[in-house]
Amino acid sequence: MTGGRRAPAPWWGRFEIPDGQAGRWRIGPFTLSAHWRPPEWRVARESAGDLLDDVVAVDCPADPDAVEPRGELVRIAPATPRGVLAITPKLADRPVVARPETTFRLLPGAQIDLFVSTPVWLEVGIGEPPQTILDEASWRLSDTWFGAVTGPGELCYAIHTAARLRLENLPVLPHRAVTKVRLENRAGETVSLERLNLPFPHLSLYADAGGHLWTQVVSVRLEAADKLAEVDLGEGPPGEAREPKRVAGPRLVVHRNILVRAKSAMLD
Amino acid sequence: MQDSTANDAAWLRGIWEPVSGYLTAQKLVDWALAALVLLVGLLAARLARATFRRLIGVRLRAQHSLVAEKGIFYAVLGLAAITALHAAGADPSVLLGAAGILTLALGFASQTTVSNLISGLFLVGEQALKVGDLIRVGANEGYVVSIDLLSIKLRTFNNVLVRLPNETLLKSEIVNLSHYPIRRLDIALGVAYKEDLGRVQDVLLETAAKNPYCLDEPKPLFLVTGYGDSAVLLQFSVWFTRDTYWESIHRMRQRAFEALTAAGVEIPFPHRSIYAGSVTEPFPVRVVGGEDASGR
Repeated sequence: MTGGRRAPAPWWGRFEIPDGQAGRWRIGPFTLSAHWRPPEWRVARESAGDLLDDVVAVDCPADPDAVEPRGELVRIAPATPRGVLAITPKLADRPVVARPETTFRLLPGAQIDLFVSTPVWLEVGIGEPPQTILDEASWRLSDTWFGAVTGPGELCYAIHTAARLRLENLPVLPHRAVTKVRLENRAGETVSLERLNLPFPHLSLYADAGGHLWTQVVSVRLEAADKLAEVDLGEGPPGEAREPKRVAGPRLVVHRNILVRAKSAMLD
Repeated sequence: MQDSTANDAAWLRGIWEPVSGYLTAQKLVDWALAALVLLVGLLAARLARATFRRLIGVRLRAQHSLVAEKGIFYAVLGLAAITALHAAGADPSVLLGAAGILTLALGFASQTTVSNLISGLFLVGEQALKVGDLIRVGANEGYVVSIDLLSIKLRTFNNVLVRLPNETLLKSEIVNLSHYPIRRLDIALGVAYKEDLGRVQDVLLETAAKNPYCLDEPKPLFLVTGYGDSAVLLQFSVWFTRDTYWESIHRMRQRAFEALTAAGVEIPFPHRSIYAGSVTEPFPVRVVGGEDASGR
């Protein structure tokens, strides 16, 4: 990401919690606490406060008396009685619909890059090998419908932070991942871009050297004749991500790199 | 006494002799075979139904599968019954002839049943509803739990089973509340005439934006629907998926009310302004109570 910005510490990975101890993770607006009292885990999480909160605080292991459970508390009996907790950032479990600040017109032959920032999900596993006990958004996005009201359509998430032409204009937050979208109009007519439907369940997640999260590049080529949009999922994150390492694979594996969707299913 | 005993014996002989003449060993074997054929037929019908469900039924709509399964079951069972009768020594052709006459008689006697049966076929063909849909028919509202040859069955919200004859359904207006994937919730409300409607709109739109289950698209709708006696009448419409619609009704209305109250927007109760005329004196007002109600 750009220089001069504070690099957030990675909050994901494998954490060992001794018997009777606890851990607490504050990742932006999301707070997770876990108490390991063999043979049970007590896990609580809460997503509240400011969406643009950039706090990252990992306190593990911690004094259990100092870690107050916030939000809904769940008691869990693991299969393996080990004080190991694994946190993995994931991408949204449904497609995400983004908007530019205002309607964008793409003239024939034009090509632009857009940057979109979306909250990540947290997959929490306990024991070894980890058993997933939680897969939740760091910030619950609004539902939205992409398609006709009488169907067919697709239930998606909507993000209210606009897609930006410049990366510098995006909020750099520890609980959000940045997606670079390359739009290319190969059609012989002007295309209006009001909404963009991004196939997040098909994307992988990467972390750069600064601990920022990125997704694969998504390239959308609009063809003229058949009104189809070719969607190309890049091999990795964009060049703006320094020394990227993959931290999570896609939720849904696509066997072909090129997806072909109706234009109306990608753009509105 | 002796005469009475002799009469009883003769009576018993009168019954037993025809029965013993009929119940030969061969007949017993035939009837046992018929029972066996019927039993095998029943098992075969069940097997055919289960096989159809597993191989083909899973690919069909639930109600189509149900109708086809019942058809297969009764067809196999009917064949088994005819075979069993044949095995028992009865002539099926005579039975079939008798069945024709019987069917004619039954047809006249069971017009309602036949009407329901044919109505059921039309309903299935029309695909206006399927098992699991939430529908409203007249005063009944509930989930469709089965679509049978003669009727459909609804489970209402208060967990009551309602059987609706297919003929009634075909003649009635069926409202399918879960046909489309998303639904609009219309909230009717009124605010005082002094309120800034732009501000009211902002408050309501913000309430919708804060509810993650309220769909971002299609956008919420804010309409002034009329001018009531005591309030400006408004409609605020928001969209939900059919899965979250019911739990959102109460929550959305409650939050809209709370947000308007918190913003100081008056939702008036009916009131009347009594006008005494411009030339009349103001109404005399007498204060009762106050600092010293006793007058001291």
